[in-house]
This record gives sequence, C-alpha cells and structure tokens, in this order.
Amino acid sequence: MSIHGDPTTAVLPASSDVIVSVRGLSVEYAAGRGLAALRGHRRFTVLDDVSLEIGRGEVVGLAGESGSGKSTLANVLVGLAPASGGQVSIGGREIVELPASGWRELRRRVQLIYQDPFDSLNPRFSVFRAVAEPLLAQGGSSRERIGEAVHEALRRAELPPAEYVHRYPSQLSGGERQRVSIARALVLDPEVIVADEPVSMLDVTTGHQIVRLLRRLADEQGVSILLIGHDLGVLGQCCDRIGIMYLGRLVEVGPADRVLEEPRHPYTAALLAAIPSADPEMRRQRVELPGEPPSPTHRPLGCPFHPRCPRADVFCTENNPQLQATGTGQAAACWHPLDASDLP
Amino acid sequence: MTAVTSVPPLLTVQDLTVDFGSPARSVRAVDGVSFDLRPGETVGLIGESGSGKSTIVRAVLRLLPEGTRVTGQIRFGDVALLEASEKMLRPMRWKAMAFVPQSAMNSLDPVRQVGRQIVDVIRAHEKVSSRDAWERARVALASVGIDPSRATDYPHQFSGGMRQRALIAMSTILKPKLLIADEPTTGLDVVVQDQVLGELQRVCREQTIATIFVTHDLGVAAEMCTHLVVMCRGVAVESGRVEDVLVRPQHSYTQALLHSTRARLVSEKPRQGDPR
Repeated sequence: MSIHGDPTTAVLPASSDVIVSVRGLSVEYAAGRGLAALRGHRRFTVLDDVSLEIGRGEVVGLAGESGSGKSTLANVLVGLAPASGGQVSIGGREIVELPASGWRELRRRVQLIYQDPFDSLNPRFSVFRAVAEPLLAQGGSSRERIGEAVHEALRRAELPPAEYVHRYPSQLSGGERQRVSIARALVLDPEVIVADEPVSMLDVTTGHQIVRLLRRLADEQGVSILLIGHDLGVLGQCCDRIGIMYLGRLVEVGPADRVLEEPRHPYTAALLAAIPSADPEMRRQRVELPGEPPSPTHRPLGCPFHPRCPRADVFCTENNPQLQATGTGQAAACWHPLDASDLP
Repeated sequence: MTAVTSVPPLLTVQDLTVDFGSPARSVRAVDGVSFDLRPGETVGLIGESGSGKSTIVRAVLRLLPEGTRVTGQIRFGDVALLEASEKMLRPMRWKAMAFVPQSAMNSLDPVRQVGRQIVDVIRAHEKVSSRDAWERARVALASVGIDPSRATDYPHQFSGGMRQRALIAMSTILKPKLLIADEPTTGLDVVVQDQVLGELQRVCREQTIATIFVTHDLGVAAEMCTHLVVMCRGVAVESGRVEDVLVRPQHSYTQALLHSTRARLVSEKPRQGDPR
C-alpha cells in the first residue's frame, strides 16, 4: 500500500529488525463452484493491497469484523492461503510462490495458534504427542531431543511438563488446552507466531492470562506475534501496534494507545463505540452502523466503508482512499478522518 | 430479588442444587441458588465457565440429562417445574417459556428453510393455516431487521448475526412470558452483537417478557439486565439490582471480575516482568 502525505511509521515496527514484511498483498478467490471456479471468470477480492511489518519481539494486533480478511492474512503468513499479488517475507525469505519443500523449512520459523482449543487438539493424542507432532513431521530428531524439546516448550507455555505430558485434552481446561497449543507452536522455536483469535473462546480471566503469556514470549524471548482478535480491549492490553481491517483493506494502523484512544477512521470509532460498558451508570449511545457486515463478494466501489459510513459523501463513493499519516502517530485510509474535536 | 413490589414473581428459583455423576462420585454444579424474576425484569446470570450458570438454565428448562440429581424448587407461575411431567411441559415450551441458545448455527436445522422452522413452532402450538403461519414468520423476521424475502433461505445463507436474530424472532413469536438467553451473542462481532442485543432488548420490552440472560461479559450484563446473580463455583456469591452489584460490589469475586473487565477497557498494557 503506498503511503501518501508525510512519511509514516504507522505500518512500520518500532524496531528496525523487521521479521515479517507484507507489501501490497492481495488475495483473490474464484467465485462459483466446480468448472466455473476453475475457469475463474468471476473472482472476488478478500485482501486488497495490504502492507504491514512486524519487528522482532513485537506484538501486532489485527481487528475487524468477520469477512474483513484478518484470518486470510494470517493464513497467507503460514502458507494456508495463496497470495494473488504483492510480496510477503518472513525472516528475509520470500514466501509468495514458495514451493511446498520450502514451506517445510519455513514452518520452523512461523507457527499458528488456532481459535478453538477444543477443536485444534487431537483428543486421542496425549499432551506429549500433540506437542511433539511438529517435530515428528519435520523429522530428523532423536527420541531424546524430542523429549527435551517438548518439555522445554511446555515450560515456555508455563505448564509444568511432569504434570501434563501424560494428560489428554479431555482432562484439560480451555486455558490449559490453549497453553498446549502454544507449546505445540513453540516446539519448533519459531521467530513468528500467528495467533488467530486465541482467547475468544476463553473466560475473561483465562484469556487475560493467555494474552499476558503471549506478551511475555515477545518481551522475554523476542518472538514476533501477529494477534488476531475482535475484542479491542484484549488487543489493547497486549499489542504494540493495532491494525483495523475492513473488507480486505487495512483502514487504520498505528500504536495501540493511539488507535484505541484517538481513532481517526470512522469504522474504528464505531467498533470502539459498540463495546458494552460495564458501568451501569454510564449509558452509551448504541452505534448506528447500518446494514449487514459487508461481503467480499459484493465490494462497493470507492471507499469500501462508504455504504455504512456516517461521514461519506459522493467523493467517497468513487474514490478508494489510501492509508495516510494523520499526524498523531497512526495512519488511516479515509477521506474525512475524525479529529480531536470528534472524540467524546 | 430484594426489591419490594406487589407484582408476584413469574419465576421463583429456591435453594436449587444440582449434582451430576453417580452418587458415589458426584459433582455439585449448583449449590443452593435462589432468585425471583418478575414480568419485565431481566436477571443476568454471570460468572465464568463451570460456575453453574448454564446448569441453572437447563434446570429451569428441564433439559438436564437423566440421572442428574436436582433438589430445591422452581416455580413458574402455578407450575412446579421440577415435578412437572413431560406431558405438562410440552405445551409450555416455546409458548410460555422460550430459549435462545448460544450457537445459532447448531440450533437451526440446516436442511430446513429458516421461515419454515418458525412456521413449525407456530403450528405446533396453534391451529393456524400454513399461509397465515408463513405470513407471521415473515413479519417476525422483518421485526428483527431481516428482509422477509429471505424467509425461504436456508440457515447457511444467513450471516451469524442474522441467524441469531432469526432465533430471537422464533423464540418470541408465541409471545412467551419467560425468555431464556444463554450467551446469545458469543462468537458475534462487536457491532453485530450490539445490533442483536438491541433487538433482544426491544422485543422483550415491547412484549414485557421476563428474561434470564446468561453471560460472562459484564459489559453486556450491565446493559441488558435489571438484576444480577453472580455465580462462582456453583454458588450465588452476590445478587441484587444491577446498579448495586456493579457499582458497589460486596463480594471479592464480583470485585475481581469487575476489575479485570475495567482493566480491559482502559487497555492497561502489561509491562515486562509483570507478575501473572
């Protein structure tokens, strides 16, 4: 994504040590079924010209509604979705059009944590087997080496190995299962962990602990983390920077506190306003964001947010805005960004 | 609840205790919980997983598995629910008390049109023509913001929010006195959650439906409920009017829950070496 206006650091990490680099990434899928899909006459765009970098030990959050493309971006980073255009590199290694043999090596560098800790662990595998699986798939490790690596990974995920290696998923709580998933991701000692909604199925206090664990992995062990979630409160707790996605585009990105406290994009503001308040004496206004969440199969022309945007005018219906520095540390893709006077 | 009012309670739960498992190795899921619910009130059952909130709901709906030992009393109007026969309960379900479950995808029949499923509910309880029932189904869908022309769609053609709204339409179509919503917005995006909660609140107010609202989200509870019962490990540790419980929590568990929720909203970033 080209950045207009002042050079901005919003899409760049604070450190100069870039581990993940995404430049102008687009992903398209063929519409229809069977032969019609193969011919690919009708295609729809799920990611449109997205650029983002993640530094060593940095936690970057991505938020947005279902269908906004955040999971697609995660899937591209781990090789589960094909890129249609743009460049993506992990640790300096280009991954677009990487052959399967290249992915085997790259899996050591980037690992995924799934949303549902109840579905993502094989119920017939003990914790030991689940955590050892990536090493077994990679091959070439001795029995002793695997045993050591599994214990080390469980310790990093803050599960005492002796207590857990022989247990099965059915004997674990949701939080413990998610820690096993994290240990499984850590066993290959990756530089990057992509966590797709890792706490959305967990209780508040358990989710809180998992998020703190991810933060510590970044701070103390230099793991770079892409944390995908729809709960801006959770992302705000843990992320250095936050990106907001809407219909396949990154519409706002910047330091977490800037984005959450002084949003510039009207969509970010709407997301923040939709969070219910636990203070019964503070009645908030229900957000007026008309319409259904958008579908990538029916992308509007111009700014993708204009059909639901309270600030949209005719210009917005025809021209798609690029990310622009807002002068407050973040960047927003909006023709009529909010300013300080619009904030409550 | 403690509020002094002349209106008799619609639902009284008294000293409800639920034990799962064999008598030798039983697990107490709910331990001596009591609360009242009057027409127009919404009582929120809040707490984390395993605290017993869904078990209370299943006890009220009489959906607990066979062999579960339930003691105490649940009175719904004149009916003692725990003693009622299945024959007595059947006409009450949907008609007198309805249920909005957690996962809309799993609770709609995937091979039956959404409108048809609402028609089924109507015609199971009322002698009306198919045409009239379809018309009512369309009106009900329109009232929760779904285009009536989508009534002949199948569940997979609906978005998650639309499915959950369709369930709200279905569960309120027979104008029940009691609606039980078990985490009705889990898994929905925050903007869609806001819309679904708005619909639920509006429908319940218009029809003065009493609601039991199960949630782990204190923010949602604060907005939806008039009263709260805070559950921790099967015990109701605190209950009362929503303003009292959330503004002046007495129990340390409520205070802890509230603290973690507030901490979330002000986005406190943990620093390096932060204790767990």
